[in-house]
Amino acid sequence: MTERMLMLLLAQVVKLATPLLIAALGETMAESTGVVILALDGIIMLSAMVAFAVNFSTASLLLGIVAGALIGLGLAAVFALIAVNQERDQYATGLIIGTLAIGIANYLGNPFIGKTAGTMPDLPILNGVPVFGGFLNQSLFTYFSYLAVALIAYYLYRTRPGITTRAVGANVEAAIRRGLPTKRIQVLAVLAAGLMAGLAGAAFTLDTKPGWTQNQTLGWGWLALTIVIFGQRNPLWVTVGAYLFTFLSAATIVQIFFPVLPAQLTGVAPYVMMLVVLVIASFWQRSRQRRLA
Amino acid sequence: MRVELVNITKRFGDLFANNDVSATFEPGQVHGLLGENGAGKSTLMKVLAGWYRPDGGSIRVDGKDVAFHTPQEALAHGIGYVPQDPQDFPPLTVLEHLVVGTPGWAVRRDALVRDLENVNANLGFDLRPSTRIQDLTVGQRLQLAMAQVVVYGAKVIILDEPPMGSGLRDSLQKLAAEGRTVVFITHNIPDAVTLCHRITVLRRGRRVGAVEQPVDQAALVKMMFEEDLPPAGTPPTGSEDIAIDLSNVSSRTDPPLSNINLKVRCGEIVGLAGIEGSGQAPLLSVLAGRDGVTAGARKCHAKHVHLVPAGRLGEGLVDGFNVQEMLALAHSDEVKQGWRLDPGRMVRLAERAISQFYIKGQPRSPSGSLSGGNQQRLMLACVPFDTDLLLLDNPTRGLDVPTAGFIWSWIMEQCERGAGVVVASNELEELWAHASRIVVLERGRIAGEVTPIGGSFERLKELVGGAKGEGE
Amino acid sequence: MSLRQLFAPAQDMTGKGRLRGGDLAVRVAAALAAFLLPTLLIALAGKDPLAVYQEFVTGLTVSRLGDATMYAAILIICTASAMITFNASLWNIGIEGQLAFATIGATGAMILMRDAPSAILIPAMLVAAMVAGALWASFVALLRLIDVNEIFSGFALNQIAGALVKFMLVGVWWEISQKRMSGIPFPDNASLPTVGGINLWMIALSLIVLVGTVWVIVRTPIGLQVRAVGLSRVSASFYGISANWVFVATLLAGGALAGIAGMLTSSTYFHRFAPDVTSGFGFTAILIYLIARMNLLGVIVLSTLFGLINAGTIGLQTRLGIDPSLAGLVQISIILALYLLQGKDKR
Repeated sequence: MTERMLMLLLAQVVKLATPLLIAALGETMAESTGVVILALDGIIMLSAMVAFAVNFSTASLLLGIVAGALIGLGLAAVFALIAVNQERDQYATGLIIGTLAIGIANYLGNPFIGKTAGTMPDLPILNGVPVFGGFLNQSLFTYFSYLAVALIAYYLYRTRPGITTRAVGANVEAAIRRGLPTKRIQVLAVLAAGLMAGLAGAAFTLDTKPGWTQNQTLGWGWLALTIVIFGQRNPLWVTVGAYLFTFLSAATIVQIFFPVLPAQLTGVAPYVMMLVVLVIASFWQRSRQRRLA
Repeated sequence: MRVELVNITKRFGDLFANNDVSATFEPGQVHGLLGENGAGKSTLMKVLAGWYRPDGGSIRVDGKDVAFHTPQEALAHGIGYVPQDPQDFPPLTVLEHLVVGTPGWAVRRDALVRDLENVNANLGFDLRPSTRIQDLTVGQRLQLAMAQVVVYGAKVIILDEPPMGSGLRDSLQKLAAEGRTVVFITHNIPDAVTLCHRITVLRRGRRVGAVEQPVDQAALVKMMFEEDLPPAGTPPTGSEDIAIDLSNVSSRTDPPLSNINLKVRCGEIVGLAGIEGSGQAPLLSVLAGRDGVTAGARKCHAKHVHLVPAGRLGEGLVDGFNVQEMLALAHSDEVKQGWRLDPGRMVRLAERAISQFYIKGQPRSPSGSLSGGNQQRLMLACVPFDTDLLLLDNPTRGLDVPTAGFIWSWIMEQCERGAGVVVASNELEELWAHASRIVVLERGRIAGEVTPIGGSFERLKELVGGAKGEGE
Repeated sequence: MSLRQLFAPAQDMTGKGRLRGGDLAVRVAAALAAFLLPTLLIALAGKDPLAVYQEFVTGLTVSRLGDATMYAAILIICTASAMITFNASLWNIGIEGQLAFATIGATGAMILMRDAPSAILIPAMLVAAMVAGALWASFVALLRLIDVNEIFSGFALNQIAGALVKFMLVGVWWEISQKRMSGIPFPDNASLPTVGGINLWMIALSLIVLVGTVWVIVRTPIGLQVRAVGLSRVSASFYGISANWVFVATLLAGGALAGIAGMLTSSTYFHRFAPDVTSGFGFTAILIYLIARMNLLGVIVLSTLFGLINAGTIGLQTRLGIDPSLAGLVQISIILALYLLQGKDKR
């Protein structure tokens, strides 16, 4: 493989990983407070559809991004209202809201199938950087994801509200004993996750895979959830996971390892990887528990 | 700060956890609050620390009446309570633990590290700011909990049954020397004697009295336990057949067991005594084969071993099952009709158990709707009929005298049937009255053994109180 | 009560269990909003909701009713599959994939024995599909034994099964399908016969499976053990029940039932083996279970209603240009409305 091909591959991986990373970082916030949003896949999908539809209709990328973010925020608010405020089952609520969002996306998205609209331009900010400039040079979404990693990691580990947020997920009983407003902290974290999932959806249809088809982003929410499990709610590990995952399941890489694999099966590489990642995460978890015992 | 508790009463339903208890804690001293399990020590301190609101009486701090509604309010007034189970956040670090819930955004790391270093220096702690809580030792976790209330400015520090470590005595003396009021909750007489300036003794929710140093341990034993010698019963003697034999058994449980030698014969009742958490539950678990042994040998000759756990709902009983489902689960052979459950036989089995065990409930009553006593009776009804090694963990906890009496007579029946029985209980009197012999555990080891017939109840109390334990 | 208070410290502090006034009113309003959601969305897509609903009702001809009952029957069987694992507290999201993989099994049997009479071919397909479904579920079970959450493994296996179906069609069986992307058609002797446009066989089979499943769970010692593990692994362990054993057994049984659904889907509902045969039955069934739980009538009513909705929307596409995905949207809106109407979860 030539150096140029490698650069192209890496650039493709970074682009593909961007929405995944943004969504996973948001979900990291929610899971830090002990809330799992199984609706993530649906939230990403509806946001992605609306972001594209608004972008297509208004020819404004900015409005598209804002619309996607607001949809994510709104769906997360509904989820938080039911699952956190009303204390209904997180999994059931997540599945129902997620399925609803996918239903709406596919129904309202019909007129936009196959349409083209403006996409996010790549910004040559990092052109001067040697080696990395070749593939780190991306659209605003990617720069945002870099920034989000830093901000969320800083927030969760270096600020008082962030540390308090993690405490709620670590031991909710003890957090209540300390007089913390646990529900409010959880709702805020879920809203943050929704906002990020909305942006991830927008990144998808405005940048990574521009345009809209039925089930355009199906599965990426589940991959994001898996990466959060793999990264053990640590934003830095989540980032490593997102890139590693995308790299290993990229079509080019899969073909290198399995040159005779039929084309129909290269598409499932992310899901085979998902299983591998789940098994690895479970072994880590078990060995850690054994160490503690 | 000088804390006065005046005529505190705290009820849970019909149970008086504290009944008209008064106590005074002076600054600059370490106060012991001594009593058996269930004497009301923790409840009294939780009332002081804002966890519970008292049903009667008042709290005075430096002469002023106060009433705290939350632990935070109490802490803001200088009262810091360190609970028995650590209330911390395992994946976080020591420093982060101190930050949780504090107002503002920025973490002033340097200032916090300095605070922590001060606490380390003043109290002889060895906490490092970036250690994760799961990597701390038990003693360090206690240090962290103490450091937290100290950093928050507590003037009164209450320790609820802290794990004893080498440095604890020094730490408490230093806290007191700084002018703080220290209250130390314990059921261990020697610990109280070595650590405290003044000891208040509670028994069954009431204050028995207070003593100052120098203290006579024998006098404390008398105060802590009931005055009268409980009537010795007619315990079963057992046969020659061995139901189970543990030799030199160690386990990786919490707490770990070490060098346990225990033979249980068929037809005898072995009582397990000791302060709570001395390894009774792990030992029962090892006897039942639920936990493996890391050293030694477990030879089980009994064919059907059944453990009745201490927890009722969610442990001994399936939360969500009703009475007849519970019984059908336990005695499936009784209600099986080929592949199916016979509803008629299920109801009849339930009705029989309800009348035999005096369960106040219907076959379709959810097990969660039963009272504690009836749940315990149902758990006994769920013991398979052919059990020949029966293990019970605190079967009478929190139950009234008639129910406890019923439970013991049922246990005796099982014994007469030929089953070997092991009963762990925090009530020495009931073990004294029913057990063939009583094994006392201390920190996962057998501290000694007492036989009620011809034995000395004083000796049992001393063993349980940790005094003059043989250690091995 | 006194004991529970004693062991639950600081109950004075938490306000749990407090009844909030107007809670019911809020729930009803929210449910109503969810119920009206499809109407709003139809309007949003620029169509007249009234015309859509009218066309929907008039479009339900007998042949469509036949479709509706078949759809309902498949849903009922999938819901039965969900019942088995959910009672063991397993969120078997993988029903969809088990169904898809089972269609490969059914198709394989059909290809091998295509000329056999129905009385032999159909049972053979059924067995092949059940084995395939159980096999696919066994992966979830194995992963669960090493503590991999069944929700995530189930979802991944769904996607992989879907891809395998595609691969079988355009790869292994490409010649047999005569290179048609529409799929491998099933001969008439592979389908359960209809009576007057209604497939009574399928209705009977689905009801037998549903009633049988509920009966096993509620009325047999095995079902009792499964429920005990589902409610409390710890409690069950004190009565000698191994949770791992129950997890494996229920997943295999659930997979086998999904297999029945897979066989019916390919042989009788779509009459072909194609990538889109799963059509979300597995997901919808889980949602039905979350609402109806073990209520026989609830499962039947919801499944039938969903079948009617699905059949009704098919005609809308040709007449009014409405996308058939409206069916799923209406279904999930009803689920959400009912979910909001229910109080706290009974678990």
